[in-house]
Amino acid sequence: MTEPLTTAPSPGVDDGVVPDNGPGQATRGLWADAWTELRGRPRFWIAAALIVLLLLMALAPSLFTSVDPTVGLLERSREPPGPDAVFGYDLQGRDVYARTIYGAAPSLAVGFLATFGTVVVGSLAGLLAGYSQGWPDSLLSRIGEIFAGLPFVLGGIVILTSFNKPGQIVGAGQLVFQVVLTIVVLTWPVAMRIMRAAAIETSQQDYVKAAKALGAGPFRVVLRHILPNTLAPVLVYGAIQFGVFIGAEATLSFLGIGLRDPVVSWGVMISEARDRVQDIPWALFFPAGFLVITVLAFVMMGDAVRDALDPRGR
Amino acid sequence: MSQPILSVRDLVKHFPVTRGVLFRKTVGHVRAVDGVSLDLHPGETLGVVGESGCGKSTLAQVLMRLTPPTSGTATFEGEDLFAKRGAALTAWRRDMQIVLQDPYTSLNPRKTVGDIVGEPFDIHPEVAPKGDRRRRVQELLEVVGLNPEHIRRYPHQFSGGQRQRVGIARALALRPKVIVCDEPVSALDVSIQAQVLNLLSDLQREFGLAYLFIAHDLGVVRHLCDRVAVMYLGSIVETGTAEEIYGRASHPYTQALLSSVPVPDPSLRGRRAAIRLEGDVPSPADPPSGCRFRTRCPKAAAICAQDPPALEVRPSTDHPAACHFAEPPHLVRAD
Amino acid sequence: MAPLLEVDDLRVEFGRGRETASVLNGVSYHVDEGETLAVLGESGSGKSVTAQTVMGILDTPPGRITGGSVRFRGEELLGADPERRRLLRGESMAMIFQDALSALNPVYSVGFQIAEQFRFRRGMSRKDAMVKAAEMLDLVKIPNAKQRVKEYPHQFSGGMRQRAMIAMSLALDPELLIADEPTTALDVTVQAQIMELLDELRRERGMGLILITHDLGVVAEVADRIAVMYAGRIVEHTDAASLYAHPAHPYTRGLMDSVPRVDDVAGAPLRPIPGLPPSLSAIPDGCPFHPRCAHAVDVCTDEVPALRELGSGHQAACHFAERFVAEGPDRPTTHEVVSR
Repeated sequence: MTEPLTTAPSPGVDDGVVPDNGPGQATRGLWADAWTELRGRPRFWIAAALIVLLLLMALAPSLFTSVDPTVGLLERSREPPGPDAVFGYDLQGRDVYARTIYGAAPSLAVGFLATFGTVVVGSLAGLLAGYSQGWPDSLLSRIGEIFAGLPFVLGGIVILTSFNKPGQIVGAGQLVFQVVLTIVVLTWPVAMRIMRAAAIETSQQDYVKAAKALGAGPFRVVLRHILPNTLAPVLVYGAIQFGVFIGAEATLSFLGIGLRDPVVSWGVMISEARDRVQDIPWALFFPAGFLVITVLAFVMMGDAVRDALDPRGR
Repeated sequence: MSQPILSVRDLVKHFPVTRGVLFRKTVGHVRAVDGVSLDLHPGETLGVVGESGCGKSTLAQVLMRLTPPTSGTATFEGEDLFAKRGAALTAWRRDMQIVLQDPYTSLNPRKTVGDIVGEPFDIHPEVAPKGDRRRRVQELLEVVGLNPEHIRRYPHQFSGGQRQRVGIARALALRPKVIVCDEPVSALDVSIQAQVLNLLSDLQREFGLAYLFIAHDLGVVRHLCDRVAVMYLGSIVETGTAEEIYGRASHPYTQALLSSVPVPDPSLRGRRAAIRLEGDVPSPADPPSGCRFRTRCPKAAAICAQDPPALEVRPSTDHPAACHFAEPPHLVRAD
Repeated sequence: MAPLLEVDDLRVEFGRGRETASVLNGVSYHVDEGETLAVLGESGSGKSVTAQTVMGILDTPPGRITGGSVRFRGEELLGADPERRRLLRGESMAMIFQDALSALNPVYSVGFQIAEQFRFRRGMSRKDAMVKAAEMLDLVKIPNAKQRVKEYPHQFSGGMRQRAMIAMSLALDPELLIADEPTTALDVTVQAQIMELLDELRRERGMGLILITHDLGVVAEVADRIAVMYAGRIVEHTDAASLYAHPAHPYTRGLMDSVPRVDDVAGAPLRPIPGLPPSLSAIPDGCPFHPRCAHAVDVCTDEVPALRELGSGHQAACHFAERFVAEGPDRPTTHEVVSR
């Protein structure tokens, strides 16, 4: 989806040159222009740097710490941050810094996959519903309402307990997959509604009429005319939901049906620490801080991408 | 006279009015277009005038095959227009194009002008070989009076009039024989409107285009059109040459319409015949019986509620009008 | 006696820094009781911003009044107590807009919205106020006013809504009515009804009427005096008859040549004004119209022409105004009066 949909840049076009609308350059189209635009924005680079750092943390936690995040020594319980452990120790005497680093991978995996799944499933359904506006719209909207009507916690319990027997030991990857699936199943209708509303509005625009009058088929109309003009609201929704989904994972963990020991996630850490905020504030503060920074980075990235995709903002 | 390039007979387009969420139930029909017949000859301009809700834009949509007709026929160069499918339909689209009203919504804001004007060539690659497209797009921009170097700009970087020129370039790209102009200048300022109207005239002469020119502005239609059809609530109430309509209108609606248009000449103030219509246009979902215009007509009589008048030439007139009492206007001269 | 409304050298800017748009660059006009002043201009000419500044409803920011004065019956309004200005709105001056649908609140009945003014500003009871509201609808010639007073805006047609807006603006009997493109969204047959109604109400009530429009035809039919605006300035100002008979500014002349008329001879080519109106953040030096003017010479690019008196109340901001007045309009003035 990110590849240029229009004429590819000709070999003569130098990527490093700011477009000057000169006659010697080929038409590049929205995506190429958006990329040029994005590169000039500090906001994009800050967000990108943060995201790369977080991804590095998730993929290679051992680069950041050599401490085992699951080892707890009770004599170190509730020790505040100090030279040994910069983030202090939690109730069970585990190193909060190491746990925060190791917690990045499952948290990011849940946040990223759930956002991706929700946005993709919801957008496709929304595009189909909004563009067709016939029976597929009625059908998808009704199905969406059924899923959106399920309370999240109840839905989560039903889905996750039907996967796993109580007490059953499940691998971390499988558990992440199940949690992501639960979140996607229960939240895609929101993304669908956003996309559907935008698609209905866009498909009534005159440029869609003009394209149809030129003989454009449905794929061309949807990909070139509707999608680029409907992406912005879904993108913003996705960026905000990223943090919400990490929180949702924490809720499921808190109920004992989400990720659990020995898997470390920010959600798990936050839900463990929240009863003892006064007692050991650092056990809550650090994972929560990382969560906030992550969400911020993605919101910034979403914002920057949205602005870059809107030629009117340039 | 030459054979018409586009010929429409008894065209009807009804939109169902539906209620209900789960089970949609049709509770009525909006009779947007209700029995329209017209002929368009090569190289001429046929004006379709009418007020909002008269169905003139729906007519354009149906003729462009953007929405299917409820009934009626249309032929393009002798071939059934509504029977065209697949490759034949795509090929026909090269011959008939549309220019839309709103220069702000008719161009995709996220595409460059080069992409917008070049899109016809993407859809119909046989028209221009790939390597040649850029040059063709720049030629088109030049033809409509835009700087060909602005190919990389986005629509928001242009003014309303310039955008409308982009829309015209897009319609012109495939060298059509017919262009449907759906209110092409109504969103533009007076001084810009004149530029675009002159451009349309020039293009017609240069490329031998036929225009189906849809507008509500009677002055604009007078200026550009050879023949005129006046629409009211989905039907044509009067048709004839521009001279016939503007000089000797015989339908009371046309007469009222013409007398309502303000003329920029204060010396005529109070000296023009004023026919003021009462009230507003009835809803096309529930049109009056008999003659559609009778509820606002100063001449309405009992027969008007029963018999819908046919669009035909009557003894005292020289061109067709759909009125039982069609007659030339009384001569009102300024004294 | 002071005129009803006097606008003097009004200046308004939008934005700051390099992006500053000079929207009004010294606008002056006046309206007397019982007369119609038409403010004619294309989009971006500043005609609506002037009206909003007069009414005190200009959004600041982004707008900024940088100079000039607005006097109502001699009383300075710019810088006046906001409470005083609020009282004047409705009581002394009122405004109607192009889009009557968005100017009416969809969740209240039309009658309720008119009655509100009688209730809150005249202290009437709900019942009495509704009776007055029905009278107002009757005044603007809405049939069955007593029944329709309970209906909602969406149940009214476009023309009816504009009538309801007029009724609402006249409820407190203002002395000045500003109509901002009141018929632009309406069909021509309905436009004729509304313009007739406005003219009749002005005559009956002795109101001052400022009619803001881009339509040279509408102006010709109702205006006493006309002010033509271009790029935030008044470029020509005179009575209706002499504007059309002896247009003095090339812009006015260009506009007249641009309009296709129903009484034209078919096939007469239009003579459009070339080019585009200037960006308000980069108004050219000298005469703002010079880049589009066929008669421009050196002095036009250097000196801003002042709006000056040409005699008998005809004012124009062009260095060569006298020459154009002498020439008369480009179009023939006598038109075949098409019998209809």
